[in-house]
Amino acid sequence: MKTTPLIARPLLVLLIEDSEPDIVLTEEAFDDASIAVDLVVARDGAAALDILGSAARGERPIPELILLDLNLPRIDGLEVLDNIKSRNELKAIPVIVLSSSRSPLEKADAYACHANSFITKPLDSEEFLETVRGIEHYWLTIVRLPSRS
Amino acid sequence: MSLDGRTRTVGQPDPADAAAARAELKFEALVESAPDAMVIVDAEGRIDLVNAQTERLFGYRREELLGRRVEALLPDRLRDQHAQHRDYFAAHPRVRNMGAALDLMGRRKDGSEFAVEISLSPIEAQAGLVAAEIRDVTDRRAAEMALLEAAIVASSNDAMIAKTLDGVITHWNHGAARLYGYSSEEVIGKNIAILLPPGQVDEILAALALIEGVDVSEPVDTVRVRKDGSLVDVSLRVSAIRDDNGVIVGASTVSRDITERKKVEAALAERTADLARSNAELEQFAYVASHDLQEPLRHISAFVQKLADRYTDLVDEQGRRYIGYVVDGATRMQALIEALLELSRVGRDDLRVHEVDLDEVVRAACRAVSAQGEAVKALITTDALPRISGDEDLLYRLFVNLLANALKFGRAGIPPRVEIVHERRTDGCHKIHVRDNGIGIDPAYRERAFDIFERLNGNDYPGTGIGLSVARRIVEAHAGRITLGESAGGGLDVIIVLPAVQSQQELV
Repeated sequence: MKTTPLIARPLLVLLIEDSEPDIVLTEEAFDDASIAVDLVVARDGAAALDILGSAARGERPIPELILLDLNLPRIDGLEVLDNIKSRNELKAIPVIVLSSSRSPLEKADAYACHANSFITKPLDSEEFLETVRGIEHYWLTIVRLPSRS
Repeated sequence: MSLDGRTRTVGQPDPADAAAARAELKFEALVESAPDAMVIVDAEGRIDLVNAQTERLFGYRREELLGRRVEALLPDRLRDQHAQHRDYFAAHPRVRNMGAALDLMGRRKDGSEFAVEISLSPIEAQAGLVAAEIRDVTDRRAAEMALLEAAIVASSNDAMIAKTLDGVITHWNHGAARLYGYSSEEVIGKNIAILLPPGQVDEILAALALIEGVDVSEPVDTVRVRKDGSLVDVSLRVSAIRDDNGVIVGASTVSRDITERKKVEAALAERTADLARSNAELEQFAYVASHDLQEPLRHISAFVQKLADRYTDLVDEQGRRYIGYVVDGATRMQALIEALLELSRVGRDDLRVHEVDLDEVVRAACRAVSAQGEAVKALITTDALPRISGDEDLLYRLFVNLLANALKFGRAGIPPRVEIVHERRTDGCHKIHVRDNGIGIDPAYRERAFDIFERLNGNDYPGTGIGLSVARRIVEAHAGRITLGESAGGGLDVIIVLPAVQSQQELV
């Protein structure tokens, strides 16, 4: 049973995740929560940095939300996070760090790199939905992005 | 002179009396001329006669001694014993030499003591009188002691070397010859430097300057060179040699070959390092394995759940049961992996040690289990608990684990009662009991209860069997001990002993 989406236009989300099942679970979690998203998927850190680089240069729209898996091949999640938060064009984008670990150290590391939120998988939890709804609200009612206004 | 009932005529000496008087004079002269101190003692142990040697030896004038008990000439501590010996001798009088093997001591008037040898002879002529011949053997005892010491030194397995302050060797025993390969003829008169590895200064002479006032140094481990040029690990102890004025004129060293000890120490250190490494590897393995296992398992759970939610109409009853089994199995495995992760994390991350108020920790732990406690109408009571140094988060998990266990393993129909009792042991350690009125653990299984994934009660009670393993790791990470006993009602008594003060170094 689906409720009416809260907003007409979908939220532009960049999902940085290498695991196919997790990509499916994330898509379905947004569906289940009736949050309309325009989901762009980067399957590793390098691909994510490519996408973000062209967004920073104005070659493509800047994502309104980034979901970042920490456990990525080659360039790891924290490095990607560090890159996002150190670039003026990108650092305002809220980043939700996704982790399959409950280690308090990983969480501390993520917040040290200025993650906006840290969520333990699986993503179909209330916690995830609450977080995304909060971020959606933030973007739609408080901030207006010049590129999408 | 004794009255013996014979009549005496005044002015006209009795010839028998005269003979007796002559004999006595002769006896006294004999006593007086004896080369050693002579003391004549009567049957009651009173001094009857002493000679000039006695006066000189003991420092008394003879009038001071006559009529006194002979024990006056002994140190206080030997007096009672001596009186008994004297009674025995009175009953069995015969000539005896004493002191050769016994460490007999005499006591002078001024209280000073000296070594003596005594021979006792009963005096035939006058029943009950005993002649004690006393000789000062101070010098001889010292000489004997010196000989004994010399024999010990000579035969010792330890190398004993004496040298002057310039390092000239003056004494070299068999042990030294064995250890260093030089005979005493080869080294006496030579400088001790022949034993030093090239470039090494003699730390002994340096140490000697520091032991002014202390005559024996602490053992020092160092290296020496043998005659054949090989190096040997030795442990040295240095003593100062002083002249009569107390001035240090040399040093003696006792050295021992510690090659074997060093080898054993090295082997032990290597083994300890190996163990620590393999332990760390095992923990790392457990951590990585469980961490990486979580990922696929989470997917199994998530998608099977989706199957159950959305496609339940497409499978029959049996299919739904199968799905149920998969969901249960995945959930259970998830719990096990999380438990394993928790266990491997204790001790893997460094302890964050602060002063911790255990009262507060226990209060927080009680809050954490309050829902579980209310469900079974449990009552938890606690003593006032101390502040200790430790890792607050770990201690919190310790009490949560123990309280949760106490609430879980209750007896059917009886509300759980848990009491936390604190006592300060005389050695300063804190002893904390967590006692319950539950089903307890059979003594035979108490040690096994700490094993990982051990579930003594099978599936009668839910759980992963990790609680006590985690508890033990937490307590041991705090350099403490945890054991299980029985509480008064047959429930479990978990006993935790934590050291009083914990330095960061003690904590592993």
